[in-house]
Amino acid sequence: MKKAFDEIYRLYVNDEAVATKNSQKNNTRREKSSSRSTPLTIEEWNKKRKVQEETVCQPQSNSDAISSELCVNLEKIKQRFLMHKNQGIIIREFNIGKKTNAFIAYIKGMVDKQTLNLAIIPQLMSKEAADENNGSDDQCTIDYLVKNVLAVHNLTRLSKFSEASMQILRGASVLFIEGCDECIVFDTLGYEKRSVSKPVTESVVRGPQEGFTENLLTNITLIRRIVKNEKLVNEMIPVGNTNHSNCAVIYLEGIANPKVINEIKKRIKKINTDVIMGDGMIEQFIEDNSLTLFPQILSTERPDKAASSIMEGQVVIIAEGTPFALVAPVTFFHLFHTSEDSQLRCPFGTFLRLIRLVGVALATFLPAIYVAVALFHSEAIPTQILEAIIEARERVPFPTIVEILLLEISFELIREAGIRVPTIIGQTIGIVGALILGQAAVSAGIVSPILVIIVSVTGLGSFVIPSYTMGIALRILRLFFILSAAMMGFFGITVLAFIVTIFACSIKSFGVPYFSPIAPSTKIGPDFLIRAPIWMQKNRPDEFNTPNRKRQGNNQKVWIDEEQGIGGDDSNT
Amino acid sequence: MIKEGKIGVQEAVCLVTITMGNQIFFTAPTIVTQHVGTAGWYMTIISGIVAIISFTFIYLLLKRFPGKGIIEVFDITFGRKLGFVISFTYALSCLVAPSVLLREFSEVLKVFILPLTPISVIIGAVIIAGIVAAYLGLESIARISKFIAYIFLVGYVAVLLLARNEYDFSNLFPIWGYGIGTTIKEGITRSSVFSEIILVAIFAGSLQGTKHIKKIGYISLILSCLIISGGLFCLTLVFPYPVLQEMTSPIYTLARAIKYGVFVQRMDPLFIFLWNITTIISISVLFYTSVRIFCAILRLEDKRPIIMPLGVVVFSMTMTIVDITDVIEIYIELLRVYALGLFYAVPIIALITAIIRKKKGAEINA
Repeated sequence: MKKAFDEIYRLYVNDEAVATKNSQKNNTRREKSSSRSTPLTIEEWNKKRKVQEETVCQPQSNSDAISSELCVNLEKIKQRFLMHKNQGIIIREFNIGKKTNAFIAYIKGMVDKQTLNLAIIPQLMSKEAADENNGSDDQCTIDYLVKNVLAVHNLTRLSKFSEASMQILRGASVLFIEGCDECIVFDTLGYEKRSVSKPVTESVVRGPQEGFTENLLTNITLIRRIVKNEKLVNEMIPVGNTNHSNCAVIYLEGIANPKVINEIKKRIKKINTDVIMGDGMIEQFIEDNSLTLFPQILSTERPDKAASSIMEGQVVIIAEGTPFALVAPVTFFHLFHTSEDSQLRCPFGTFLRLIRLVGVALATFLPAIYVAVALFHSEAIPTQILEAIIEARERVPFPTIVEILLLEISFELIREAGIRVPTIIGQTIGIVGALILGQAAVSAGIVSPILVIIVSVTGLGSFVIPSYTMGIALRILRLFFILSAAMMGFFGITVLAFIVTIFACSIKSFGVPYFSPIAPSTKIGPDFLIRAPIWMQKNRPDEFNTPNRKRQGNNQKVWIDEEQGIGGDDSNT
Repeated sequence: MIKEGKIGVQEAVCLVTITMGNQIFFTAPTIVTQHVGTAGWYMTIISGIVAIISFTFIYLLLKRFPGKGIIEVFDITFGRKLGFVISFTYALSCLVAPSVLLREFSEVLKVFILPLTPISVIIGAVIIAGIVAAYLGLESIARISKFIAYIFLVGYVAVLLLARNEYDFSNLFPIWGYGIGTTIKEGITRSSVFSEIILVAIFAGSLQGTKHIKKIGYISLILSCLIISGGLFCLTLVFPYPVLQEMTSPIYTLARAIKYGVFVQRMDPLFIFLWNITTIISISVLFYTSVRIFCAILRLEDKRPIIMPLGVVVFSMTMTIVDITDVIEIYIELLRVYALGLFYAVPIIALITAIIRKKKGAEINA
């Protein structure tokens, strides 16, 4: 009994020991487990998470590649666009197909909201956007999205952050996806812009009535609409280091001289400035001679003129922000051509061109000739006219030079005021200035009536100059000619004319001499001064040295020969 | 050597023709009439023929040295020292020539048009134009010559034709002038009126090949001959030769004589423009030529440092001449005589020397 009791006791003790041992083990385990699963406080947990996020999402310095970590890209965007204080940039985070994290970045006001709201974001957020064949959420779904989900007409994939950033700046929306080291750029440009309207500075009676706008893409489209040719090349070159503007170099491959194209592109690429606001600034950076008065690049507001220049072998440069295109190279004589010339029949075109040349001569020399004749060469005037001039000048208290400078400066004031004041009162200024002021000046005996006529005719002459910049150049020259005439009469005019002309002769526009095809001599085309019938203009201007000179076939000669039974041969361009 | 660029045939022809033909606007018709009477117009043709023959030798010389100007050729044929002396003489004569021409021009201008303007102002204005032209170089001078050539030709022919109401064919007689012998002798002596043809040889390196030199030379001489001869013919038709012998600027007087009704009369403004611009071109060309020669003989690679000093030299030389009588009686006569030897004879000697010494330039493949 006792033995059984002892046995039971022993077992009990053992059990107790085991139990104690077990209990000790359990306690240790419990302690261990309790030490592992003790809940953190919220502050502790947030702090821990922040540290973790910071280490994962910290963008690698100097790396321009797009990261496969979405948070890195997000952080980069935030840093680049200074989002802590910049409110222009919008970042919309969402899940693609309710699975993959993604965000889309764009600038407020520069994108088309309709496209984003209706064609991009809903598609991406729909359940169908998830790639069912893709087992892992971390794997990039960009190919699947591009091919199956995004029903957008124009999208590109970029792998560099700087490029993506530029696209955002120009008005595109950029999609970043978790696990993808590329982004998708949607062409969602939708900022406000002026619609195509009539050209203000280059009106024509016969011909297209649309002008360039401030939008680069619209302007390129306007040219492409006229020159429907697969070889019409449009190269975009970024300009302006800070404002990141663009300019387009447009030319016809095989027609434009490759040397000229390369020279133009080289000069544009070499522009190193913070801001380019438009074509005028580009013109100043790339022109051959900055100090001369004569423009070496043609500026036009008309797409048809730009297009016809391209067809002649010239290169067109369009910058963002101004409704003008630059045409280069150009010669002195091309600056007096208008787009209307080619629309009119040859007698009319020639007549208008000659009128324009007369206008140019009057605008430049008439006041100077008057001063020279009045002061030095009065014997050159027929007696009756001389009498009329003397009679008219009898009451005028000023010398001729003062009188003409007074009127010239007044005229320039009226012209400048007419441009600067609002359009509605602009005309009034013209009427008040020209009529009332002129009449009053004559009545008061300050100026002679004949001088009013001279200055008015000069003004009219300067208005017929098609190129605005050439017009300004001639207006400035006119003043110098007046002064030289006042000093030395015709001799003074001749000396100045020589100096101005020899300067102009030394100018080149992208390698093309300014006075070609006359000096130096090249083949003078039928559309130089006198506008020959359009069917005679078989070749492109010789001075531009185009690889493909031939512009057209025999045209009328073909059917005239056919009618006469000779049989024509119309070799094409 | 300075970089000049290349000029084409037409530009070169215009440049040389204007420089030679411009003499018709000055006292040349008067002097010619003084020497040969009414035979001046065909005496010019004789002079032209002599000049063409002389130019043929110049051309033959240049043909032996393709791509080289006559100054470089002198260095090769005569050696460095003698070549330097001859080239220096050429440079000096190219400085004297514009000075004399400028003085003549300023005097005539002062007499007829700007009586109250100081002569230094007139001379200074032209010198400034010449300096500008020299800075811009041969290419620009050639281009402006081409540009002005059309206006010059049209204006000149217009002035001559518009005076047709004044033509009197009896003025052509006695047709033999002071005798055919005198005419031929004077024609040969005065062939130096075309001595500016040497410009083709000086700028031969800037022309596009030896073939072009030949073309330029002959065309320029023929055109200049026609211009001067045609002018003299019309002047002889309008003015009896005793009157013509006394005129300072016969073409100017001719332009003033034009009269068609009340309105179209006294066409001298048209003439003034032509006269001024062609004279300025001529002076610029001659001045630039002296710059070019000085650069060649002094082995200068940049012409700019010597342009202004040479401009001052020309200004001083022009002001040194006392009056127009000096110009006509001393300087022009001297230039005519010496030019004959300097610009026609020296190249012939150089040619003979080159043949004897078997000097020849390297062939240039075009």
